[in-house]
Amino acid sequence: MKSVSVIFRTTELGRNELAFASHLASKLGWPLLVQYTLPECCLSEKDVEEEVTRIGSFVREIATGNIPREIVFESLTGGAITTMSEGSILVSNEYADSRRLFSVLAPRLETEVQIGPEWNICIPTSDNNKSLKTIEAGILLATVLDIGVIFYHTTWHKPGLESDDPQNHVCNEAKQVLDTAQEIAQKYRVPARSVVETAPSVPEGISRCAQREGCALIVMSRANTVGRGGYADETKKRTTVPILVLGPREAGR
Amino acid sequence: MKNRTWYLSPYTVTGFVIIMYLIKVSVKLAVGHYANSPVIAGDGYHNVADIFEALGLVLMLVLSRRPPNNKFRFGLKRIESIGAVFISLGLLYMAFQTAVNASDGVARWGAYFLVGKLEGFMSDPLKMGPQYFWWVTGIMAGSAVLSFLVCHYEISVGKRTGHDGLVADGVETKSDGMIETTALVGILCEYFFKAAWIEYPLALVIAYLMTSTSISILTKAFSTLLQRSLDEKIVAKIMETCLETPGVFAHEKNDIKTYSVGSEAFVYLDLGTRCRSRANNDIAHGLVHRVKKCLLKHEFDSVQCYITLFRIELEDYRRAYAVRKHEKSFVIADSIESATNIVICDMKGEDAPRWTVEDKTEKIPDCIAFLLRKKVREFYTFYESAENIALIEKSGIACKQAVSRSLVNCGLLTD
Repeated sequence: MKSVSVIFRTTELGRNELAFASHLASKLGWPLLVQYTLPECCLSEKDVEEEVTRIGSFVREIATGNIPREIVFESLTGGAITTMSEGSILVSNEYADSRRLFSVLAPRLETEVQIGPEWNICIPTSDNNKSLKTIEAGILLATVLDIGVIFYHTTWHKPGLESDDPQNHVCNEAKQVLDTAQEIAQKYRVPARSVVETAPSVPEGISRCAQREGCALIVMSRANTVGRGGYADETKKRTTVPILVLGPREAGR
Repeated sequence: MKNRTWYLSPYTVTGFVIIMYLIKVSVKLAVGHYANSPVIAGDGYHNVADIFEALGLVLMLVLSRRPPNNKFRFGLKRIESIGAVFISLGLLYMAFQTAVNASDGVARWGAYFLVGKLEGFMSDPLKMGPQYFWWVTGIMAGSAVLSFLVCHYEISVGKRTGHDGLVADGVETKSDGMIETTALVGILCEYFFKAAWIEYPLALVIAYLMTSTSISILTKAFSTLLQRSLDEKIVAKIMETCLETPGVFAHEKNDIKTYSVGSEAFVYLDLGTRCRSRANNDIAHGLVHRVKKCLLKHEFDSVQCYITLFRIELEDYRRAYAVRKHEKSFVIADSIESATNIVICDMKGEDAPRWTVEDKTEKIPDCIAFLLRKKVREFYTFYESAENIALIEKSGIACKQAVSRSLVNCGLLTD
């Protein structure tokens, strides 16, 4: 079953992640899975019960106003998360840094996912059909959250072409991806707009577009051919906008 | 905003205004003296003053459109507001004069209806023979129509190009048109119904309208000159937009200063973030765009937005955890007695970028003295006896219960 997961921490970042995950779970209508660590010592059943009770009341206090339909507590004894059900989202700034098998949403310092007619999801597009699955996943999320979608594409200048209009510099493959993205958005009846520009760098362009266009979320995936400096990782390092990096299963890679 | 169409240029409009007044002055003076009509001739002289006002407006437009220089870094745009103050004062004087004459007329006509005697008007009553009627009526009606057309032209171009002076002059021209219409009504009523008295109550209404218009121009001009903030709702909306922006935080030092000059709004924002410079650049880039978008939805044609982002520094303090050693790791101890060590954390807000493990002394008073020496502000155990809590808090250290026994859950260790 799909769920929004979060790793329990009492730090400020941990509280923010918990609040964000709780809000997201309540908006998506998914259960919230709180994963906590039990100390490496023998605890009696009563001690474990006390531990879980305290964690539970802490979670409910943080989630006030955005209580998901179900909160599940799971012990992470034995180490970090290794598996999650398909389509689930882990809300974590820490885990978004590394390559994972599942989708990780880094909320940065935000405590809520912004929802409303003026908000959008920013989905960067490439010149490759492989990004269509990511685009569809982003659009599906937009349908549930009832917000719009911005397809962002940054392009290199075509040598010899003097036009200032970035649209003229887009290659045919990228144009095709943008057109298909618009068709998918139309199919799901999600308000969508394409933004094309020639940004100095891809992460900078994505981050600025997300800030400018009022994006509540950036949805990206990692290409499995990139060794270092992947756009998803670089964008995550730069931006303050929450960013969802899809896992290979969800991104179809 | 640049106008590429010649008829939308403020200079073209002012040119039309001057031409209109030249026509009015020559026709009104000629016909007024020919028909021996003090109403028309008097209005013609009033229009002579309007020509000088229009010339002043041209000078004002030339100055206000000059680019900023070393002496006037923000340009001379506000000279239009100074001009608007003078125009509105002139309008106020005109309203006063109209009101005095109209009140006098109302009083004397009132006396006439009561006592049956009509005499001693402050302003001369209308004197016209039927042979001049069509001349006089045509001139006044044409003049009024011309005034209303030109006023509409002035106000729409003034608003479009952001020239307050032009808008104020347009309003003044509108008042001229209203006065001319009143005179026309008086002429018609006298001719057809022998009811010249109608002119006076109508003039009172017009005097009231002129007064309220001039006060509104005056208020707007002073708001610009004194840099009055934009409407509270707009300011609140801008702040809401800022605080919704990812990376911007509510902070007591957050500040917003706004004002407008004509249809151009100025916004100065000081906002707190906790980000590094690259992210701050992106936040500022996005905010400028979104604030402009928000204000352009209102009555503004252009917006200048300046943003300063300051870093919100997190508070530095010390926190201590009573811990119990278990094999090679630690867990948070139930109480100070059961602790084997004390973890001293250098906190930055709610995070502990540095922590050390210290041995715990056996006796609790010594332990409290140790915490005081380490300048600890908060002390955590999993459970604690009321007696110990009282003892620790007496020393000024806040005694708290940890949510979990795990140092990982408390953010001190990673998985």
